[in-house]
Amino acid sequence: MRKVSKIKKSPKHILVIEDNESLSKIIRLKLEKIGYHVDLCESAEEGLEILKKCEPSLIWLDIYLPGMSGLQFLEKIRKNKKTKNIKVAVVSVSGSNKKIEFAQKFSILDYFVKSNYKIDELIEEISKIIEIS
Amino acid sequence: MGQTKKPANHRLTEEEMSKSMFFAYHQLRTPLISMKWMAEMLLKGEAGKLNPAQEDLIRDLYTSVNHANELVGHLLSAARIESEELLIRLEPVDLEKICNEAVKDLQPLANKKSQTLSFKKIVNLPIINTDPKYLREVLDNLLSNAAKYTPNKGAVELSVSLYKGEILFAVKDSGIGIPKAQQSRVFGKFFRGDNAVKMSNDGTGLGLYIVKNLVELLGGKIWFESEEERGTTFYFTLPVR
Repeated sequence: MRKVSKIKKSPKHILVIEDNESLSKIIRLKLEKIGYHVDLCESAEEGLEILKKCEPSLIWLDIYLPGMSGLQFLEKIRKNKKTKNIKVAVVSVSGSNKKIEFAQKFSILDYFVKSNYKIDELIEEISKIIEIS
Repeated sequence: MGQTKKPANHRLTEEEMSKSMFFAYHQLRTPLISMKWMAEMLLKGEAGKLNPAQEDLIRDLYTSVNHANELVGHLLSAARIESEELLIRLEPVDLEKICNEAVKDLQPLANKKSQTLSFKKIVNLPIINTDPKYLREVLDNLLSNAAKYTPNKGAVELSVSLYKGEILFAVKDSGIGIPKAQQSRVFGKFFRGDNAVKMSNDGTGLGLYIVKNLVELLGGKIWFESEEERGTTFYFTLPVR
């Protein structure tokens, strides 16, 4: 288990659930550069553990994860009183309409298909949705 | 308990095969995205200033990775069509906006080949209910094919009009055309014209197969006119709804 952030609630705290190490590294670098505090985890199960200890301002959620999928994670946190209102942005390699439609049933802020974005454009979109939501 | 152990020589059903292919393509895509984003960071000098030779190499890497991403995208789209995973999400679409965006995104390739690229709307276009993602995929495939198979200084034009109560799109190029003897196979899977293969090694031969399936899924029809060494025009319709 990775070291969990001591920040309980901060408007600039993002929990990134992404199992690819290279992508996590890039995402962390980019978000920290513009002032976000980032917690990284590689699985949905680990993400659920982290949510017991803190409330991020946004969850950056991948879908294809080892074990519980991102969509199962989403369904699960929406059923929990403590986590049901946490903002979530899905960031996936899959642009399948079925997955987008399923995710949107669980009040996500937006659904991003990784391959459609340059990294800076994606970070800008994420910052924007945090600010306006 | 309850799970039947499959024998080692178990043959995959079509559904299992299709799921495995999806998974494999997605697995391929993740490292490609990682390479693409890293190349972007390097080109921006985020890991230190590059000398001209390094910058040149990273630009080539970036181009190759984008190309590989596009190929995997085609494989994914074709696999989705075959597994009937496609689901239409209808929403009001501003046709003029989507056409302008598609043409704008093709401009760098057209500039590189000194081609004239234009968008002509014959009438004021209505807002229609369609799937913007699939429409964009159709336009991107047809436009990039047109530019790819048109020699330097040629012309590519997208025009949109109303025809018999439907929206009619036409993507016209002054390119190498499709050999008459091969025209009946154009929308087949993995088809590439002999002259296209001679001109470029790029391409999976899946683009037009995907385009035809998507247009039909959106309720339209697709056809083309082509003359070798004179050019090709692809037409497709979409219902007004």
